[in-house]
Amino acid sequence: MVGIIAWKAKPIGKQSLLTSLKKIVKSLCLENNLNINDIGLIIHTGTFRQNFRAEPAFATHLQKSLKIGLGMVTNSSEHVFSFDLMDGNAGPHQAIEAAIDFLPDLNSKYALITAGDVKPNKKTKWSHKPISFACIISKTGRIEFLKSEFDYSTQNDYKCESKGWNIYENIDDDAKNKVHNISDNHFNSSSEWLAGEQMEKFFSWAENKTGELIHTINDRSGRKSTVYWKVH
Amino acid sequence: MSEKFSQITAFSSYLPPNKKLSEDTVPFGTLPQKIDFKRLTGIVSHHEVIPNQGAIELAVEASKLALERSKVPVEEIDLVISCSVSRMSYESVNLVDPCLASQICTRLNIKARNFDITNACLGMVTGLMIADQKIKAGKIRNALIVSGEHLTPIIEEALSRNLLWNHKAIASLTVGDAGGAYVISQSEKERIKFFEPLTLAQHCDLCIGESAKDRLGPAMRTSAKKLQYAALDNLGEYMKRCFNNPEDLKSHNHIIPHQTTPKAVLRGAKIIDSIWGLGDRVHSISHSGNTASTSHTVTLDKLLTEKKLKNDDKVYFISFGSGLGMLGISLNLPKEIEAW
Repeated sequence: MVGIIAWKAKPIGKQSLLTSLKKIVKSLCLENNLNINDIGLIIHTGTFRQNFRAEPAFATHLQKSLKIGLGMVTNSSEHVFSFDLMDGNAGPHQAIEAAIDFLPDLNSKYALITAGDVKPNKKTKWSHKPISFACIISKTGRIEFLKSEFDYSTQNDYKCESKGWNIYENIDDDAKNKVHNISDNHFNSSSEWLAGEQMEKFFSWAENKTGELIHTINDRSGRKSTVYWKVH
Repeated sequence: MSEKFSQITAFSSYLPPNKKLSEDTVPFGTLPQKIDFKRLTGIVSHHEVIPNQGAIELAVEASKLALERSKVPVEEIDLVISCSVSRMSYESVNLVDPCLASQICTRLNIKARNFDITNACLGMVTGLMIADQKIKAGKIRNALIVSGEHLTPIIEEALSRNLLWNHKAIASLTVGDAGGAYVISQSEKERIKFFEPLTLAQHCDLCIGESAKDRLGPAMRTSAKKLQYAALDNLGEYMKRCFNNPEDLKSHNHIIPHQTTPKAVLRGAKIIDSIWGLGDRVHSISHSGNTASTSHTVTLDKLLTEKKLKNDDKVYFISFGSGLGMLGISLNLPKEIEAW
């Protein structure tokens, strides 16, 4: 039953992304009686980073701030592996599946997935109000991951580029792109939300449900990702 | 159900035609205290993009050759992962979204699932590991792991500074532009093995690459000596963890570390030599600079051109990336590379 043991999300507010996610992960572990040192993999996903940072991965900064796996390599030392994965709004789906694929090779119990974005710079015009999200994945998760489907056959001409501190987005602001189709067991969200908010909205909706649930994320680029879950 | 394995069916690199000699890029007198850049690093030259080439174009050029070598039709590529540090176009536009992999797929007419990885110079080997896991899980048949590193704007940025006061910019002078690609596919036998990946995140602030604060384009600041020692101090123990039996490492024909500078590779080779006596199997290149995540593909292609690689040769990759990430891979080269 590989899946999600616990999750938590909060608006980033005026904090840095690092502070926001550090607090969320620490309280997530505390509230769910999870030993933070049992995390062996961190994958962060998101689109916008402070100063458009290209290296190192944001996940390495998070690992340092959580103080896990920081020793020298010895014959018995325990370590953490951290990297970032990006796929627009659908990043969390790809990251969760990547973590699940990693689990058989991990010596540790848990993988940590975080999603979140931040206004790149004070000078950048940026209209998003992002949500920071974190979840813990294990071989025995309450929210079981069943399978994923990625329909990347159609792609529109959406582009987000930055030059200096300026961001240019040719987003299609049509109201139809902000409609979420939610039925009893299918949460089909529009491209309106960034990655962290996509996950926060879905898991809040799924929290009091049981059985098989479908989560579809429509990315701004026209691509579509779907994950099938079973809530026990 | 039979166990599934993966293998590298092709690799390739692309160096843009604009070759720059170190003495022209960093003439004597540029570095403080009359330090000669070429003597300090061992880098003889690097390559830079020509007009209209950026991260995507470099990646696409390398991918075309890898796909041709692999003989895998694009219809059978089920996953594309772009792993570059740089997301820069030729005009220093940062390509934020959609992911670079999707744009590379469009150029190559590949209709596959795709995403980007950011893990500094460890990016391509991280991408290979993810693809290997998906192949073993039976989720995909073939994957294209690709990277285009348009890094040289950071040379220009560093040269615009007073390097006496901005010594952390000096490492920026060591980079070069390149593209790299692997095709990884299903295999009946184990032909690639990934050792424990790890991140020594206590060192994550030693190398930061991001948008420059007061000019267009990127900048990188590196505590080069500290980063190098952090890597070298852990290299021996990491490799001992990879190889319980020393004979396992001795079965490799080539050892290819991440190519920061030839001088740094030499220091790593001395450590390997002191423990296993295999320093002469460690390869270093001096013609391309540090091409970040593509450095293993550039080294392999150089060795191929020099006819130093044989069909089915066994290679050990030891990768480092700022963060500080480490990952070792043992792999058999494709069985027909001598015909490439």
